[in-house]
Amino acid sequence: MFDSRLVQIIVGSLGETLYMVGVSCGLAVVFGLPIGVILVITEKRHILENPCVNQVFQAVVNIGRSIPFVILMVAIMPFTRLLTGTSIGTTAAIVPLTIAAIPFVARMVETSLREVDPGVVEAAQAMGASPWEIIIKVLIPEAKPSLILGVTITAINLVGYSTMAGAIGGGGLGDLAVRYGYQRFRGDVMLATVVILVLLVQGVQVLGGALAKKAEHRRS
Amino acid sequence: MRLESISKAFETDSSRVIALKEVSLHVAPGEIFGIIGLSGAGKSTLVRCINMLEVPDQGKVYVDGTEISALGSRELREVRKKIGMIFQHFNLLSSRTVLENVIFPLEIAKLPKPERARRGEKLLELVGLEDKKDAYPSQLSGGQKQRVGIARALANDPKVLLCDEPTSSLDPQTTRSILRLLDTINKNLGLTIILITHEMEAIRQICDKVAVIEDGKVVESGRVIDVFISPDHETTKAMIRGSSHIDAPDWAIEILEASAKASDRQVVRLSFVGESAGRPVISSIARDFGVDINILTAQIDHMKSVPFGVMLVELSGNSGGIEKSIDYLRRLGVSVDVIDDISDFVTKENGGANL
Ligand SMILES: Nc1ncnc2c1ncn2[C@@H]1O[C@H](COP(=O)(O)OP(=O)(O)OP(=O)(O)O)[C@@H](O)[C@H]1O
Ligand SMILES: [Mg+2]
Repeated sequence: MFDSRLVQIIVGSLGETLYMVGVSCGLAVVFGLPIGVILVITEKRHILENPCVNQVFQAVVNIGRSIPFVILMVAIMPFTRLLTGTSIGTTAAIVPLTIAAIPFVARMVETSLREVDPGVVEAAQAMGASPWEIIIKVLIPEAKPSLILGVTITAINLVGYSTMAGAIGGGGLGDLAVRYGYQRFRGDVMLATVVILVLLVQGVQVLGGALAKKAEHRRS
Repeated sequence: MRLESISKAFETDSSRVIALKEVSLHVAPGEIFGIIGLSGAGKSTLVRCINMLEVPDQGKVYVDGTEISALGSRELREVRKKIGMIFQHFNLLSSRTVLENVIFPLEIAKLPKPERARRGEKLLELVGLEDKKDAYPSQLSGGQKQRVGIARALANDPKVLLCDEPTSSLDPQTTRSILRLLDTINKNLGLTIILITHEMEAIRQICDKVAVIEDGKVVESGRVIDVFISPDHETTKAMIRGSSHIDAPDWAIEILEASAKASDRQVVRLSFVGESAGRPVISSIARDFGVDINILTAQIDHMKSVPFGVMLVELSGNSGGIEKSIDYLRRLGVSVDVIDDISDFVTKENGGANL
């Protein structure tokens, strides 16, 4: 159906998408997890109650969440150029993808950590655990299954966003679909892209679900 | 351990709840001290003030000579390592196995790894769960979870064990076995135990002293035996009545009703403790005062290890003889309650009397 050159292009695009999603998802977790933790522990009656810090972080996360991705991408171009030396291409796309995903991850983490039984946190406090020990040894391990599912949803969202980034010069499957499927009327390439995207999302979902299940000891 | 006029109020958006009002307690080393009260009385708040999980608005807390309420957060964490705590809902980490839960406090105390595992296994042996060490809490029964909780609380060799309703979500049989375990630990390790509960039964079984708390205030406190024999406060009386239920046959209730009207008959409740339970007091009354004794119902129980008997008897004879017998019994250390108003404690629906 496709000549080998086209197959190569499709595989290359898939690689680019995986690269964009993988790196931005990883970076978003690195930055989003601490923010999510801060959102929870500075809440009222939590281990480091601090209304001021809490409100500042709440506001920042809300602002981040409310900017549409397309606008964010364009708006931060100067920043992207500063970091990567360019504002187009796969690596450049990672910057807006990461920035868009950080507040999303922070909210996911917040929700997951809130589900941790306050009694368990209290037990750790009663044993003389420090706030840091409670975060590392109690909150995150207890929320692990839920955190894994949160990362899964983030990755799936990033697949979607990455196609948007691709459409304006970021490469990847979105770029492929626009250049071949749309501009060159290659319906078959469009279809192939869509099928690959569906499989990719399915794959991420199944993998995330399995990892979460493995970490779950609450009901076994 | 000493609490000096602890007060604590909670501010909510709309109101202010005073949870504790100038509560003072003194707990001697090695004692099992019970704190009993109805739901919302402030028991949990009180016990949480002991390790500063709840910071009192007022008052001082001393544990082992240190004023806990004056410590900075770092020093407080060190002191907390020497105060074990167990909870109604166990509060085990679901992501860790039983053994990992038990050694969690040892991790916090930065004990070397091989040492942790060794201690962990020994603690599990102490609570009888060595075969469950690799199970997860979700695979255990409530009683087993509480045993893990106890092992975990004992990990750092604490001097004090705080128990917030440790048996309230357990069935009666498991409750007894957990209480027995606490009692054993108290004896073998010389641990001071604070036991929060709403069940008089638990107090009776293992506590040396008790404080009754209502609406944030201690309304009565003292040795368990004294409080049981002669409770002062209405709440205490109600709780004691509710806990020692004796089934009285229907005919006993009829007698109760009849003798309440007659002047030559008097129903009394006799409570015997310790040695007085063993004396032949009943027969000597009949002989010396010419009073007939009709035993309506009786029950012998144990308060901790002290035998404790409750007996409902009808005395009949001339009123002087009855009075003398009551005096005589009291002189022997038997607690005598003259029962004039039976409606107080007879519940007709189930045909039983709450003594
Ligand atoms: N964090 C809180 N915020 C507001 N009010 C509280 C808080 N904790 C406790 N209270 C209030 O303080 C009072 C005492 O509560 P506490 O939990 O100490 O009672 P308790 O005797 O332990 O009851 P229970 O047997 O139900 O556990 C209650 O009126 C409760 O509503
Ligand atoms: Mg309570």
